[in-house]
Amino acid sequence: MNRRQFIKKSTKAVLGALSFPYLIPASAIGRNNFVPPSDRITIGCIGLGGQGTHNMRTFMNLKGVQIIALCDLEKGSNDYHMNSFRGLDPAKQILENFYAEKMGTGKYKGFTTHEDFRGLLDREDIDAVTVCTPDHWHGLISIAAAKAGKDIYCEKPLTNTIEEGRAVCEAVKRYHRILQTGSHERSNDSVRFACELVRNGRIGEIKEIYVNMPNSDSHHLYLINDKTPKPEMVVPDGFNYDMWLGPAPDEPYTKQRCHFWWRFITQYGGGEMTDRGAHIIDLAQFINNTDDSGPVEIYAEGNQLENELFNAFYEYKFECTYSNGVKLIGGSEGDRGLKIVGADGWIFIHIHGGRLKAYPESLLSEKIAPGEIRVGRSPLHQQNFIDSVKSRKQPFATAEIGHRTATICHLLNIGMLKGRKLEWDPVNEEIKNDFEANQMLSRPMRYPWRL
Amino acid sequence: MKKVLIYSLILTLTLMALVLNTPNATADVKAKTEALLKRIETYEFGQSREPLTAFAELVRSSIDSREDKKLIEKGMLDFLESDATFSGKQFICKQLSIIGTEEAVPTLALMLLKKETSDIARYALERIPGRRVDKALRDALSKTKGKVKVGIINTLGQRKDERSVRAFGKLVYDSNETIATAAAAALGKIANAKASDALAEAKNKTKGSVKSIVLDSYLMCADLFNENGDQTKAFEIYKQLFAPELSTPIRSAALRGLITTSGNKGSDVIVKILKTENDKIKTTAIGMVRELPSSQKVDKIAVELANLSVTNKIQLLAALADRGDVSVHDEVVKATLDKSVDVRLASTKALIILGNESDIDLLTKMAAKGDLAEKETARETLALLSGAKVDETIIAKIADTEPEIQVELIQSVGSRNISSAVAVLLKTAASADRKVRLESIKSLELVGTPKDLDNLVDLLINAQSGLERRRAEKTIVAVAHKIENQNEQAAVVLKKLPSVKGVENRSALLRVIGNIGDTNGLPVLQKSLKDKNEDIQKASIQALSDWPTPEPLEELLSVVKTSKNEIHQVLALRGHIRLLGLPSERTDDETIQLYKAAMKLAQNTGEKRMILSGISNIRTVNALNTAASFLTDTDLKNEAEVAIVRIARHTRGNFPQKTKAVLLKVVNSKNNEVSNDARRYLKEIDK
Repeated sequence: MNRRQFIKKSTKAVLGALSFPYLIPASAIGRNNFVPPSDRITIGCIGLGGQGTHNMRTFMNLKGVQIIALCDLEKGSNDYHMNSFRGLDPAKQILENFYAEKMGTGKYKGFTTHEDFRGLLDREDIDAVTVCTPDHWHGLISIAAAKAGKDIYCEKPLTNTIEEGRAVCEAVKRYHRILQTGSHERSNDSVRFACELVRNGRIGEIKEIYVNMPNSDSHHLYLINDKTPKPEMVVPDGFNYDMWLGPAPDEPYTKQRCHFWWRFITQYGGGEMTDRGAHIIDLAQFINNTDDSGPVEIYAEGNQLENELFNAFYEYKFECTYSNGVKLIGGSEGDRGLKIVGADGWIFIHIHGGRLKAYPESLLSEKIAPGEIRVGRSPLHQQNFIDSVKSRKQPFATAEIGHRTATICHLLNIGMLKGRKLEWDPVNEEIKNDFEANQMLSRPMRYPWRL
Repeated sequence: MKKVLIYSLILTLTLMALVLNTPNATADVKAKTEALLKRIETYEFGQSREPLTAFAELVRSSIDSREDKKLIEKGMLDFLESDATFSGKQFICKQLSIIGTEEAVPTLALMLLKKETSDIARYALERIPGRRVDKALRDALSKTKGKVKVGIINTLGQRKDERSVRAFGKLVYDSNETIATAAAAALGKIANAKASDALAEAKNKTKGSVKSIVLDSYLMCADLFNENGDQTKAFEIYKQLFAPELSTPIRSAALRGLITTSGNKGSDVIVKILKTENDKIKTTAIGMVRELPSSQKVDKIAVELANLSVTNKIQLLAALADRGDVSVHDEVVKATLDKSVDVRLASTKALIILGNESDIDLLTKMAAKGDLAEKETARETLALLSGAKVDETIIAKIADTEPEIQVELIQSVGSRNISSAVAVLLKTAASADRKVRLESIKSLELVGTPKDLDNLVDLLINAQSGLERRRAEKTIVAVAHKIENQNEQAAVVLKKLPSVKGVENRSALLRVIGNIGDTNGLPVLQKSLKDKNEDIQKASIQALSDWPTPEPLEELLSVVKTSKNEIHQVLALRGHIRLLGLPSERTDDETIQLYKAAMKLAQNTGEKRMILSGISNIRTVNALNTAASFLTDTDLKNEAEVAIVRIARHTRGNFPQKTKAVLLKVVNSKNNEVSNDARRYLKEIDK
């Protein structure tokens, strides 16, 4: 079945009226940038909360990309961060308006909507999917997407456990798919320039990388001071809570367990460590040229949130050592970002945006000469993914890269839970001589889900 | 004395260790376990998690003591057999999954059979090592059905229990599709020879979603055989799974395996696929070009380029470039003439890795005469083209070619940073062709060195147009900044200035001095500000306005107040406002006062807006109120609003109420960004 022959077969899908042309005419995609239908990349978006909607907007604006399916188990809710109205219905509205305006028809229904991601994956005419669900769903959906022959743009952190991460890498490799982890800071020009400066020896041999991951945003402060009760509540209409829990243990519904706040409950996320940590530590890995490896020693200590629901770490300090002697030293203080200290200078990268500071300042005016190490550029992380989908060249943040970064974040959380130094074997991906800590590398799944 | 102290310390530590391991310490753990479990007995979701946290801490601290762990485990098992709440038991099962042993099997095995507790028992059992656990799970298989059974199959699969293969081989045909798919998936996890045989049989006897999982699991068996060195067996499975009637994802995965297990014939397999298969399967084959062992030649694959679809051509070009085998160079060059512009661009990009000096003519021609995308790509390739002789070939070709191509070659000198080309560029900077001259001056900015400054100043003096002169100014400033000692950066220009004739050239050099910012240049600019010639005065104002520190603030203010030339006044005021924004030793309040004074002098809305923009960079309540005072000015209302939200971003934390008072004035702004930000900050403050 090809794109032109497509007739929706999944009964689970809530079909949009297909009386409108299924493929948007070339003129609607942009008269001056004609992309023939056969060359377009078709996308299905899974997870339409804050980040999912943002990614949908970004992809729908890329040349040669068409979104043809949306999926969320929340029809629409104001319970997302900053009370934004997010979910399937608002995303549908945005997409309809966007394409209707492009077509000049005033309306557009040429995409399907789904509550269950499996219905979306059944569509053989979808080339790629975005996975922007809560973290505890990333692994399972990415694996299912790879098996269905889709390329994947999966939000960071790649997975919620180290075992899931390895399984994603294997599925992506086995099915020969492209996966881009959503660690978009990697695609900032300034970050890539900083990496080239370091890799070409401009600051001398790297000694330490200091990582600042403060918990000082308003939502952190709210969590730290939160004393409100978290009673069991009635699941709102239009929200499939059982599916939301998915592989996680069965626990009663309360509003703040879900939208946005889930990331501070260790069952579903890893707190700031896997939230912004998955950006900052990711850059440390990139610049240290250890994208396919990781530190060999990890020590972390911290304090967990203590109330009726939230239990992520919010205060921490840690020190990791790589086999090349480089130290990754971090904590929950300072300007968000990382400082790479070499024998002859340093570079500080601000998160978000990648603004650079350096010593000596002249480093920032350096040019990378032909023959020196270059790490490539892309105008946008999502564009880099689309380019890879077309060329099959590996993107900037492959599954392996996303997995190795998430691994460090998870190890730091495990290290804090254990309260002692972990010896990590990055080749066999196991913690040496520590049975209990190794038990934490995976998490059993609730019926009927499995890796 | 020192020795005595050390011995005492050792003795004390030994005694402490003994005390910690005494029956008293163990009794303490027991008591704590009992007390905490008593509290957890009635725990329900939504209640305080304090006893749970304390219990988790107790488990954590007992990790190194076998005795303590045993005690705690015993307590947990008693707890699970009690009438404690489900929430409490779920929490305990999570703890048990970390430190549990086979001792837990009898208790958990009973829970496993009950629908209500099966999932939480499985949570614990899945990670507890030991054959007794496997047996308990296997025993439960025949006693359970539906959802519970599926969970147990999943866990046995996760534990790779080889003794379950026979049971799973039957369950894969179960009428309950969820059970059948779970069994098929478990066989793929186990992936031994028997599991593989069961899947081989199921492959032909199942359909729909069960068959999909069977095929995936069969693939996993093949991958494991391959990984363990049994390539023949793996190859056989891959061949079966590459059957044309199977789905594209399965065929793609199988093809990957086929190529990997084809030994030194991998490239032949790829060639065959490129000749016979559909585009999607070709895509997989092309991707495998990257993974072929380096000993395998890919030239035969590259020959197929001409026969592929545009999409596949682009993919193959990217793969060949990633592989970096230069033997395919000629095929890639041929592709630069393809009908499709996308293929031409992809092949041009591939030359970055696969090209050499022989491609320079092709690239410069494309850069000079191609469409916009081709120009950009060709220039990028020229900048990055590898090869030991590329730089010298570029230099040699500059002198001997038409101006249009010369321009591209000169541009590549800059982008490649070819420092040995300075002498050639100084010559081409005097070319008869305007574009060649201009490009030469531009590239000199990149490759010129401080010792070339003398020549560069001469270039400026001999510039044939205003544009060239301005470009030369930029080049001189950039090269001067390459001098490490800041107090020597303007030395060459300052030395030459007295002998330079003509207002245009003198003005240009004054601007250069301002932009360099060498402190030795400041007195020269201060003096030239009083020159009789108005153009020289204007250039001096511009130069002082560009000064890198706030030092010339007063001079510029004086021009604003005293000059009779309106243009000079405006320029000086703009410079003054710019310098006010630079880092200084003034307090924020002093700076605000100076901005206010400048506001009184400003005649035009443009300068007033610049002032508001400057104020918006100060993160104080005073700045916030100052910005708010311009809300009533219709010309400045929009800038004042923008300034307010910018400042409020920084003051909302420390001065919430004062910030709130000002934000309320802009919350209904017609500028959506302003009103959204204001609303967001107000919401945070009210929290």
